Parts: sequence; C-alpha cells; structure tokens
Amino acid sequence: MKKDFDFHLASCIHDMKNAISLILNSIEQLNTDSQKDTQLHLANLNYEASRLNNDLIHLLGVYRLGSDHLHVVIDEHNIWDVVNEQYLKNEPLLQKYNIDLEIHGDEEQDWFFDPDLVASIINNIIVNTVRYTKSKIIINIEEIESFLQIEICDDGQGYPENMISNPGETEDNFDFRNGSTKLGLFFASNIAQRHTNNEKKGCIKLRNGGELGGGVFTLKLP
Amino acid sequence: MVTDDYRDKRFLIVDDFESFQQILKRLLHDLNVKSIDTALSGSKALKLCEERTYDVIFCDFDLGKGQNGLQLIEEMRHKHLLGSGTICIIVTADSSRDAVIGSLEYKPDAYMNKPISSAELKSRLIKCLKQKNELHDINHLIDSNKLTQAIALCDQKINENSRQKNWCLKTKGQLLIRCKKWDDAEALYKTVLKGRKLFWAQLGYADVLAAKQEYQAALTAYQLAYQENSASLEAYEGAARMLINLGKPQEAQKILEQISHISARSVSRQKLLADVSKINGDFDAAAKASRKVVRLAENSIHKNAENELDLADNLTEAALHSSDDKKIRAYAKEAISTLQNTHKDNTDQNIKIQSKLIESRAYNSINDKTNAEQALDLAEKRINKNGSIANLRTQLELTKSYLQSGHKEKATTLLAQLAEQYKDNPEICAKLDKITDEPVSKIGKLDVIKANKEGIKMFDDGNYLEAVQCFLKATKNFPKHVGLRLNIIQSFIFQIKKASVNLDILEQCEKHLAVVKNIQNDHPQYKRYKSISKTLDLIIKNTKKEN
Repeated sequence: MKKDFDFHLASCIHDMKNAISLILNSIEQLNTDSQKDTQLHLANLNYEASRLNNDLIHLLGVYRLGSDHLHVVIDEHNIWDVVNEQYLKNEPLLQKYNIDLEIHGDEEQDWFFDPDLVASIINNIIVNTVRYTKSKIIINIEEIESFLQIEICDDGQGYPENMISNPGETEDNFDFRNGSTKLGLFFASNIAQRHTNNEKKGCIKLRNGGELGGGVFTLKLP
Repeated sequence: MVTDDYRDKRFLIVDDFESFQQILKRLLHDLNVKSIDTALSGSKALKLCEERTYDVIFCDFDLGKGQNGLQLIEEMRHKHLLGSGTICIIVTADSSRDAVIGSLEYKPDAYMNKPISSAELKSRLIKCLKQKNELHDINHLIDSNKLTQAIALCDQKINENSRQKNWCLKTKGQLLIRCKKWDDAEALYKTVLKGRKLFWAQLGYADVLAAKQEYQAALTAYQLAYQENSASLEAYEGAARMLINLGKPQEAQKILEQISHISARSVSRQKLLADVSKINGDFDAAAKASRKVVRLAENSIHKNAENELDLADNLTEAALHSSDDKKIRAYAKEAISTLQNTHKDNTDQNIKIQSKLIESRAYNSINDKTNAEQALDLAEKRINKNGSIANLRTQLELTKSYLQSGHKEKATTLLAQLAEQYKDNPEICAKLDKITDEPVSKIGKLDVIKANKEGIKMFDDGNYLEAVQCFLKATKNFPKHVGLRLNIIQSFIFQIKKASVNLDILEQCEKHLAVVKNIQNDHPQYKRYKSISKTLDLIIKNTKKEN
C-alpha cells in the first residue's frame, strides 16, 4: 500500500501540475482570443479544472485507503439517480465540447452500494471520457446475474492495450501522461473490490468496442 | 402541504465565504427562485430563522470558527426554528464523509459536494421535495407521538415498494424499538440481515439485544457492526456500554478513548467516558472527558451550567484522589475558577447554591478549611432562606459536601430523609446510592449483597478474574462502595499469587485503591483497607525490585 501511495502521489502531482499550466495558458489566451477561440479555451478551462478537482479527490481517497480511513458504507439506493446526478454535474462541460450523453436503464433500479464513492467513480470516468470521445457517451445500467453493471461507452480511440490487461494496477514503465486516468482506475478498482456481498466482490473492467466502437468502462457491483 | 415545485419556496444560504454564497445564489436565480436570504454566520442564520420560516436551507459544513453546519441545524431544530417541511442540505467541499461523521445525532436531508452545477441542484431539490412530501404524513405522526400509526404507514409504503421503502424500513425498526416491541424489531433486522449484511440492520439488531439486556450477544453484534463500518462511532459506543454491563469497564474505557481520537465530538460519548473512568478509578481521565464535554457544548444546544458543575465536581474528585501535591493544587484551582464563573454567569438559585457546595469540596481537597466552611455555610444559609427551593441535585450536592467535610450526622440525617422521601422512585434511589459508600436504598442494599455473594462464591472457587468482573458490574451502580473496591483488589491480588505479576493488573489495583484512599479510621472496612493496601504495597515494591 505504501508503495502504491507514493507512486500515485508522484504521478498525480505531476498531472495536477500539467492541469494548472494548461489552465494558466488558457487564461492568458483568453485575452487575445477571437469569439470562437474563447469558447474552446473556456471548455479547456472547464475540463482541466474538473480534472484537477478529481485528482484531488482521488489523492485524498488513496491517502484514506492507505491509512484505513476510507469507509465504504453499503446501503440500498437508486442507482439511476446517482448516475444522472453525475451527468448533471458535468452538463456544462459536456455542452462546451458538444458531447451527447445518454443514460439507458430502468429509472427505478435500486441497488446496494456506497453512493458517494460510486458517484466519484462515475464522475471521474465521465470527465476522462470527455477528453477521449468524439461526440457521444452512453451509460448503460443493467442487472446481470445478480450483479449491477454500469457501462460507460464512448466513440473515441479506445483504451491503450496495456491498460486493458490490468486496469487499476500499478506498473513500473508508467506513462505520466496517463497519471490522472490511472489514478482514477486504481481508486475505482479499490472501491469496487470493497463492495462485497457474501462471497461476491465488485470489480472494474476496460475493453474496446462496445456499442459506440470506442472505449468501454464497466463497473460491476454484487 | 408541500409540493415539488421549488420556485416559490423561501431559501436560506449559510456560508462564511461570500463568494460561495454568491455562486449558489446565482445558481438558484438561474432556476427562477425569487426569495433567497443569505447569512455569513451561524448567529445571523439563527436570527433570520427566528423572523421567518424557510423551506430550504443550504448550509456549508465548515462555517469557520465555532459551530459547524450540522451543529447549527441541530440548534435550529432544538429551538423549533425549522418548519416540519423545511429541507436542510449540507454542502461540503470534500466528497468523503469522515469530516461530517461523528455528530450524527441529527441527520440532514441531503449532502451535496462542491462544485455544484445548476442542473444538479435542480434535480436534487426536486428529489428532496418529493421525499419530504411522501414522508410528510409519517413524520407528522412521529412528531405527534402516534407511533403505532406511523409504523402502519411505514408498512404501507414498504408493501407499495415505494421509492422511500428503505427509509421506511429503517424508521420502522427504530419505531418498534421506541415502542419496546423488541421481538418485532428483532425479526425485522434479522430478515434484512439474512439478505445482506447491511450496517444499519446490524446496528439496529445490536440495539434490540441491548434493550433486551442480552449483553454478551449485543456486544458481539456491535462488534460485527463496527467491523462492517469502522467509522461508526455508535457501534463502538454501544460495545462500550455492553462491556460496562458485563463488568469490563477497563475495556470499555479503552474503546471510548480510542474513538475519541477519531472524533471527540459527541457530548453523550464524553459523558459516558467520564462515568466509566470513575468506575475504573481513573479520575484524571474523567476530568479530561468532562473538560471536553464543556468545550463541545460551548457551540451547541447542550451548553448548560450542569456540564460546568459536573466538570468542577470531577476536577475536585481528581484532586481528592490524587497523591501528587502539584496535581491536587492544579485541579482544585481549575475547579474553583470554573465554579466562580458558573456562579457569576447564572441567575438560577439552585445552580448558584450547587456551585458553592462543590466549591467547598474543592477547598477541602487542598485543606483550606476556612474557605471550605465559608462556602458550605453560605450554601446552607441560602437553602434555609429559600425554603423548599432546593432541587434534587442541590440536595445531593449538599449530602456529598457533608460526607466529605466530616459533617457525619448532618449527612446521615439528610440521606435517611431523602431515602424515605424517594423510596418509590428507583431512578432517584440509584442516584443516592451512587454518592455514598454504602447504599441507602432498599434495592441498592439487596443488589450489593447479591453481587458480593456471587463474587465471593467465584473467589472461593478460585475464579478470581470472574470475581473481579462480578464486583465491577456492581461498581457501575455503587462507585463509592468501599467493600466492593477492596473485594476487587483482593481478587486481583489472589490472581497475581495464582498466576504471575501483571503490571496492568497492578495499575488497576492502585486506581481502585485510590478511590477509597480517603476512608476514615472509624469506618468498618478501615482495618481491611489498611491490610490490603499494605499487601499491595509489598507486591509493588517486590515487582519494582525484580525489574
């Protein structure tokens, strides 16, 4: 755990530094922009600030994981509401990038999970996907074989191969540009695994393809 | 009746940062909300709430110095400043709950994490209004104490598979406990637990077992609950209460101290810690806990003179039971200054008299007989002058002061009178028995005899640690009882002889001995006290030599 934490601390701070430089750049350019460029730079500002916020949340989260202060409290909640609220939280960002987001599933679907932690996983994936998708995100909520499955599909390039094989794992030849994504996945994987029901455990999966032909993030909760 | 349209509602935003206030205000304006008030501080918010009733209150968790958002809303609720339909939403900067956990006596309608978007705000508002609306009738029945009807309505919602069925199930469990329908409550929790090991059901199940006085089973259930959710201070507190009932106050104190490190925010928990520390003869810990009670209550509804009197009393006890001169003087000084402030700040005659009575004991603890007698004298005069004004606590404090300052006859007369007067009130009898070295009530006397008989049987069988537990169980109700304390120490000494010297046990013995160290030489247990304390001294000396 100590090694994981040190590792993620370094990569995350790196990512945050990047985000701040980009924010500063965007602010500078706002002064000299044409109308159309302003929209683009505002969108970038929004994205980078959201990423910074998620980084900080994950950093705190990973710290709490390490120091055993991260408490997963599972109870029955409406999952559609939680997912929808994360969509609404990011609506301004999605609009700026002209990305369409649809949620498919039963609005009355209840499940057993920690709403704050699952919300932060969904929020992170949405923000990340904004960068990689072309025009569309679809979130599918489904109950499959006594697991709740949440799929976040995009129409972008898809996840790199080495990420798909072991999402949420740390590795030595780490690409710092993926710092934010990686940290989020590490956090998500941990949270998912702490969702248990008798013998069953939650997990996350990455794959390419899906209904939009891009990357697919899946969260499964027992 | 509430509707789920929020536009015509009255909103209040409480945040100590003006910029955050403005952001939220703008978001609400975007949603066509017309009536929005803002407050930069808790006191301003309270004032506004006295003038008008709000439908929705957004309150930042962190309000800077002093009161936090939850405490503020708790105070509003206590002062009846909130309408039955008022929605309270706590806004936090941090998505994790451990900043807010710890003072969950009051639960807000929702938490929202910054940053908040306008669409998200709208969705949450509608959700809260719908929920308030749907639960309005049940909450109204609970508020007017029509619990059976409330339970029936909960059942109806559960059967309809309503969106609020989870809330209804939890509420039903709590209501069944309040109605003392233990078996129904137990059945409810067991059914839930059969499906999933949900924390709230585990905790509820433990509460039922505790109410049924199945202490060992309840302890196990509380332990399972905090394993499920290690942030649950309720579960740790429940376990501590069970340990006290099982005669393991030492372990109870450890748990309570451990969770005080996580969050010392609960007044009730710190009071429990003070009580259990006194059972263990740990007067330093009791003084520390009651200091926290006073500090915590400062910004909340719990602030009252009683807490300050308790603190002064515990400080005096700590002074009386210490053998370190410097410590004694520091404790007494703190007690006296606390009492002088209480005396000055309060107009209630009983509080004033009580503070004088405790002050007299504090002076006695540093052998300042002149000031001690003067304070006692003043208190007596005021009691006599005001006739029947003296309330129960005043009478109890007077008894304690008589006992401590050697006014034996006066103490005995007063105690006999109180025991007679309240003989049909078991609660007051229990209070009387707590302040004396021998119980004065009939039930108390029988209880001590029973506990002694059981404990001595275990002792005679060579089960010394079991005997200790048995005596400790009784010490909960008779903390000043000399015989019980000596029995505990004697059982420990025999355990040491049987097994081996254990430093932890020796330390406990010293604490129990300190409880009775002010025993008078005409006390029936005096000789025994002397002999046991000599034996203990010897063991301690020998142990020190060996180490």
